[in-house]
Amino acid sequence: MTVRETRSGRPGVRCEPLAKTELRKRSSMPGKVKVKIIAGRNLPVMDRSADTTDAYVEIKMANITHKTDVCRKSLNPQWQEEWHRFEVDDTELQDEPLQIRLMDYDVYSANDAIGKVYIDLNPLLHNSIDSADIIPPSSTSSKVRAPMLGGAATYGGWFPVYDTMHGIRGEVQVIVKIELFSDTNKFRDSSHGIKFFCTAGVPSGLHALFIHGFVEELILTEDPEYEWLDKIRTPRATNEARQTLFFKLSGEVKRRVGLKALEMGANAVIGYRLRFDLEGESGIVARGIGTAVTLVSQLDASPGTTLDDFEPVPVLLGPLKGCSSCSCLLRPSSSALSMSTLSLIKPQPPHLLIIPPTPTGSAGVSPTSPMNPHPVAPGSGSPYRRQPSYGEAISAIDLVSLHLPAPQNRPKANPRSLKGLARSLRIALSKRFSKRSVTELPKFEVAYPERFDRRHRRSSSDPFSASPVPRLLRGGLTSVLEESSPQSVRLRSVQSESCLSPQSSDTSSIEFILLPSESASSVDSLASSASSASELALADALRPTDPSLPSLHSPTAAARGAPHRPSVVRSMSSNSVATSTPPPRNSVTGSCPSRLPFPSAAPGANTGSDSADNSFMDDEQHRLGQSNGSNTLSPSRIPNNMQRRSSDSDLSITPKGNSFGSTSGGGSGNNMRQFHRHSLPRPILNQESSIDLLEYPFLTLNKYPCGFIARFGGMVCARSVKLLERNTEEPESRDLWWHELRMEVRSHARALACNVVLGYREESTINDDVCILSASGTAAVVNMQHRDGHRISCRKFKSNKSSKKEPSENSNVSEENDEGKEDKSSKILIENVSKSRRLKTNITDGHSNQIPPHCTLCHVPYSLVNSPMPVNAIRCAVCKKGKVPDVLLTTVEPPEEAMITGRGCLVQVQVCRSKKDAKGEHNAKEISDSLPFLEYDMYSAIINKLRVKGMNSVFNLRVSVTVGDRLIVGIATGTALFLTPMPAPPIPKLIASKTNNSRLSLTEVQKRLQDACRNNREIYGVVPNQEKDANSGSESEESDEDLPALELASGNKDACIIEVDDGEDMNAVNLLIESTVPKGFEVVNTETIPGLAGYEVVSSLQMFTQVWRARVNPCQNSSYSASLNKHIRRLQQSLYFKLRKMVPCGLLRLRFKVELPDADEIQITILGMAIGLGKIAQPLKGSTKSKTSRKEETDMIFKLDEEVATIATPPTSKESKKQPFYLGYTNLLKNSHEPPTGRYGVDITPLNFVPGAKIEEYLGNLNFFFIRESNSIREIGGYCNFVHGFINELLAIVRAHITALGGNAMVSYYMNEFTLLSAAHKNQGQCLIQVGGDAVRVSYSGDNF
Amino acid sequence: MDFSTTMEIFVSNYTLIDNEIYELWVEGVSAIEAVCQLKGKALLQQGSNVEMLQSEIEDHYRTYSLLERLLHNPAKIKDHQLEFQIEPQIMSMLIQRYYKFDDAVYRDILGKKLSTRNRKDLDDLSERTGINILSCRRQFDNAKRVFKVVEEMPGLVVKNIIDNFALDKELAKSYATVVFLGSLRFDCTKRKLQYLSFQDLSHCAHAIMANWTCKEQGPEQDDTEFDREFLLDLKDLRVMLDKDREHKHFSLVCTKVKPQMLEKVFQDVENNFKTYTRAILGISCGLHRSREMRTLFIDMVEKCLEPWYAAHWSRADLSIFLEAYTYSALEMDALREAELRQSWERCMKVLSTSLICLHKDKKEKK
Repeated sequence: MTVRETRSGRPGVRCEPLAKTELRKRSSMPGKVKVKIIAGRNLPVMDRSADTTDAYVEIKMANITHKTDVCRKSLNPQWQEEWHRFEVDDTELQDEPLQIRLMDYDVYSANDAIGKVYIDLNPLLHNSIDSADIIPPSSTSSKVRAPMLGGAATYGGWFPVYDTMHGIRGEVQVIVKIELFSDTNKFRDSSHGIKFFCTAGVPSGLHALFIHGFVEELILTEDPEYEWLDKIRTPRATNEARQTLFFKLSGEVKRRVGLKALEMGANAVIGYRLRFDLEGESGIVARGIGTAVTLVSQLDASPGTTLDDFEPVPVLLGPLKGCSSCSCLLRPSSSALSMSTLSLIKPQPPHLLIIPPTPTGSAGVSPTSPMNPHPVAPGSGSPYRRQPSYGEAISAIDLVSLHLPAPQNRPKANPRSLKGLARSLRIALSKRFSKRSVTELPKFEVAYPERFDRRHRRSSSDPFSASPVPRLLRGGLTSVLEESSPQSVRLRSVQSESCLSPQSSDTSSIEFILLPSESASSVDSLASSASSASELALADALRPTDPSLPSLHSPTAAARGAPHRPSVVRSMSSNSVATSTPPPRNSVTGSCPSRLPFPSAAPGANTGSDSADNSFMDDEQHRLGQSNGSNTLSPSRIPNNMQRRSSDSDLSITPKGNSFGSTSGGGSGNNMRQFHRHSLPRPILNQESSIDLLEYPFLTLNKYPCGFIARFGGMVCARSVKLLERNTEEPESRDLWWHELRMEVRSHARALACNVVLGYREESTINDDVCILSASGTAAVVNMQHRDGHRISCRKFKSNKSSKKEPSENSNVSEENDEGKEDKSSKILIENVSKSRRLKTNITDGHSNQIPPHCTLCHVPYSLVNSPMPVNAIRCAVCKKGKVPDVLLTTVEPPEEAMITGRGCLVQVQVCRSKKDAKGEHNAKEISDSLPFLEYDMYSAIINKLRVKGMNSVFNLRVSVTVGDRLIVGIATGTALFLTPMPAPPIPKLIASKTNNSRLSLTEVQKRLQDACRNNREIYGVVPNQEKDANSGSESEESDEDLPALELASGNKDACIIEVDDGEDMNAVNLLIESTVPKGFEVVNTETIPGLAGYEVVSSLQMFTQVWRARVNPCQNSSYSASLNKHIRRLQQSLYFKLRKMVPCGLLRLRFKVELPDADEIQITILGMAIGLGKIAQPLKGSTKSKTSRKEETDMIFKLDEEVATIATPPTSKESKKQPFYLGYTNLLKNSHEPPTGRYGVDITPLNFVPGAKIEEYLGNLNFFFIRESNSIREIGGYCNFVHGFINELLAIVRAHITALGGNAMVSYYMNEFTLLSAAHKNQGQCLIQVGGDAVRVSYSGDNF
Repeated sequence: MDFSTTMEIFVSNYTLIDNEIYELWVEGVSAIEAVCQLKGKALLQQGSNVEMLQSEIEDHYRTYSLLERLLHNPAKIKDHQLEFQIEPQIMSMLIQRYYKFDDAVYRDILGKKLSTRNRKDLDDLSERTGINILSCRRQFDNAKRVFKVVEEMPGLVVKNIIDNFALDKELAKSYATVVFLGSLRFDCTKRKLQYLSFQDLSHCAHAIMANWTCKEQGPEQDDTEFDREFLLDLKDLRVMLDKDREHKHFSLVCTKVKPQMLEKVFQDVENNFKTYTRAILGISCGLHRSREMRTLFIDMVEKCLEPWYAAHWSRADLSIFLEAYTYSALEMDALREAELRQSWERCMKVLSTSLICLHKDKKEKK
């Protein structure tokens, strides 16, 4: 296996000097693996003549193989041998699975393989060493030790023996133990002790002390399926080679991610996602992303452990590498500083409960908090830089990559780079689609990326001279500017949809920004209120462009060798950053000044240059530095690293910029000032990790503790279309691709004045040699004062501590509540929110009480005047003060403290477009041309559906796009909710074009639509607040009325007004009316059923996988989307039908996955969890009862989320305060849900928790990738049986491994990859499935009492 | 655009079992037929249609067919199969249901060699009985499987079956019959025996197993193996055929029987006692010859039962007679020897119960 390593993608982490690397090599520590093979059972008959088997076992670890004796003539062999010992490297322990292969001994012929067992040793690595040792040496605090983090001590039990051609063939009993020398070497290559969780939330029973940030890794390797060797070996051999490779990759990615987490000072990675991209001939890409955190068990986190109850900060800082010594000192000063600076920027209004530390906030803080200069670090600083950061990232990276090879082997490098460039140009590599938050308005921007490419090409021809590059850059950029910047273009595009196609077709690279986040009716608002609208539009138009401007100019400045400029720029940017950060209410005032310059600056090159972002500067510096000292760089080093490294060395970019500026003689007052500003923090700065943190302020978690999220900005998403080419791809390219996307996502978030992206996900879909990469998340402002737990990056938000007093109300409340120690209340540690209510401990209850449901969550984090896009913001219906958007889309679970009216329900749209069957770059073009329309359709449909449902927000929204040969399918699935603070959506109105002759049918449809709306509102208990609240009602009505005018004028599709011109439109309207979910079912794609009243989750019933595959018969009559919709609807109905006996039940975490395996085939996989609901009213156990009563009490004090419904529907009884959600099922008692889950077997659930049970211990993260092939499909009984059997076997294997670890359940189960390749005429089939999750040991509530 | 579904599967972590559908599956009803049968009931739910029902039934059928492989080895799956998560009770229900059989089918295969050739004949049987051919085959295969596993196994056959197939005692007994009669090749197929049901023969078989085989605890214990010594001892019963003894026996029986019987039947006893006792003793004495053992049933019917039918004996008459016959003999000198006495008892226990069991009134016969 040749695994090419890619190290780029993030700064600082993997860029130690060579010496260090060598050190690492030396430092590898051996571990001892002991394996005992005990017995086998139910083995297949391998010797037909004797109807028996002569079995023996080969045990392979890394490159060492042991064998057992042959156990003759038995299908149930007993080996009972001594331990087999393996001495292996510690990295091997993580990378290599233990392979146990059962063989049948043949005297004359070659021995036959019976099957194999792969054992991932990672779960064993946690327990085998003292947990104190696993904490990186730099983290001095022993408090971080978490017994809960321990994994299984032994891995032993019966494992199904799996063969890729025959499935499970018997079982083998194995015991595995590991003896490890603890490795405290700082430079080790292994990351033992970092515990992995798929769970996208804080694991139950644990607290997150720190959230260190985003970690990711990527490995590109060859696919054995496409090796030449594959031609001569058996399918079994190939499959096994692949399976082994997948296991190794999964181990290696994990190890590397762990290493990064380790370097950040974390002890766990949560929200870990491992994906394999099967790129065919160009190989396999294994990607892992996660969130590095420091977890402690709840016990450890309890008051006694922290030295200072009130100020956990010092302790917390301890573990941070390098900065531990400083932290204590810093705290006081930092707080003081932050106070002062903060006060300068924003006079904190006392009533503000939560001060959202917006990105700028962090930036503003940065001076004060020594930890954090990062905000100013590459690209992270200003929220405005959305575009440039991305564009520039591309350019910078490309340039760097081109140049890097140059120093050492120039002759070679040039052609290659040229080729690469040409290719990238051809493909329109830069073609990308970024859509932001709730996107409705398509806006266009001419994307410079392509130009960059061109530029690159040119530049690449002359790689040695640094100066030409910037010049070229300038040229390219200015031209871009000309096209992109004029607001007119933008406005035009906004106004007329017709602009879309010409533009898109003209410019091969288009930035498609669906800006109008938050409000579908933004257009209307634009048009309606002329003055404000124009302002908005202006701001809006400028927004995307202005970022590009600065970036344009900074290069030129650099090229001219005017270093003073950059420095000025930097200071400016940092200022702007600071100003923009203030909390929403301040932001109106505070951010305005800062932002205003930008619009004005946009047209003007000079001013624009001021706002050049640091990251750009960074790149530039890097580039320059490179040209200067490229000799020193080893060619192997990856550009990104370089870039980062340069920044690392200087602690932060800002200082560097200064030094840079000063050296070049441009040191000015600004420079000085800046220096001054940063001088204080500097000592504390932790260079490496801090930059890293800011690089990607992403969290992969879905569920956050109460009070963690301050505000939602909205969903951000970026996509890019890439062309894969065999052999020419550098492994780094993948990293760059993702880097670009991440930068873009980040910049989107910044543009929304948000400091983090939550619920971050990365997906890819591959069709032939075209790959679509997507990254999405929810821009949000995170509460930093959430002390210990929730520092995103330790340094960055340390200042939050200081700002703790600001949320005085909040903390007061909490203190009041907790009669206990204050410190207890202060432990707003991230708690496992997803835990079922019944099982919540007192402490957790206390926590949840601490933060009463509040409306600020929904308030827009950005200033409306300068909002990044037209937002139809309305006064908050709860506090009447803040502004809320009319629609909110997020990719995370609904926070507990959100104020919800009614219940949530699944909302889904499917959009399907036909596509020409093209190859290569044509295909790429075809796809990228089509994507914007697809997304536009999806988002407008989802907004419209939302309106029909009477809801105003979507949580856990997942948008997936799949490309096939002839189709592109997009599916967006989310859980619709009505957030109380936000306005009720207007009922959509239909408008026919003038000539429409089918008025009658129109009114009919309109009526149906209205009926559906009314029905939905009734079913889900959504009572629009205008009924209660005249003010907001009138407001929304107003907007309602405004809409038509604009609608007609612009011809734009709007959420409220749906224009019906022809049958197609009518179809679209019909799609909005969803069939109702049968009674007794609650269907959502979240972890819980938001707002579920009167019922509670009693037990987990079933995890199910539904696979549907169909042949696509093109037919003219119906639209693609409509028929797809019809079938998915049918699938859902069939799901309800299959689960009909389980009512009342909830279907949670439904995941839809579409694949287009063939030109005329479509496959949909649905994974979900059925849970049993029971009436709360009848407490079975005393504890439950007391629990309920306590809950009630708390409800009286605080409005808990569910309680909100009472506003609309007064409590019917004392115990079930809300009306039973289905009267028809009141007679069904909760004990109707005892079995089938009972106490037997292994529960597997995609949820983060096991309903009706308590997680006692996490035993390890398991990932499996299995391949099943058959050459006798017909004999098996067709593909249905083949796949059915395979999934079944897979689950069996997973269960066996869980059991072997000592567990009895798996949470966060996922099925990522599901590929079925069929060749019916050859009677063949091959199926690949990737599954995984967290093995846990749970105790069922029944056991406890 | 339209879709024609090529695959639709639903797999759950806990295996879903539907009794009704399972029943149909076990009965060999095809999925499509099953849809027709269940349509009425299932469609009560609003919003469902035949398609969904069909998809559900197909899911179940697939699951069961995957399960079937395990059902062939039930004891193992009951304890530790990993492939399916099924509640133990349900699992056991599945097993019992799978191994349930139709009397008609097992009556048919009793005493037959469970060969592939005979398996082919099941078509006729299916036609005759109206039992689904698939079901017939399953039953045949079940019998064969059980037979194969248990046949050579030492120990009590019922226990062996329970241990290896996790069957109920009742069910296990039935399979024991199949194994016993099959392994010892009892002839049950003669036309004259056709009127006998599986249960009748099963009763006899168990009587034989209980009394004539090596049942004593020990390594030799095996109730598919005859107690040869005992059978040879039976040869000594020949002494009963001696004229004097026969007469003595006759008078003893008559005195015992007379008060309990109708005059007409008693008359018959008086007249034909010689024939009857010779028939019974003939059978008994010949049992050590395995050929005669195999024809035990036919002999009983031809030599004993048919005369009694002719004389219009009722079953009650028969049992009175047999009881008297057995105990009278014990009062005679001929059986003074303890061993012979015991042999007589063992022999007559089986013969009595069998004859009574096999004796059918005209009505029952039909």
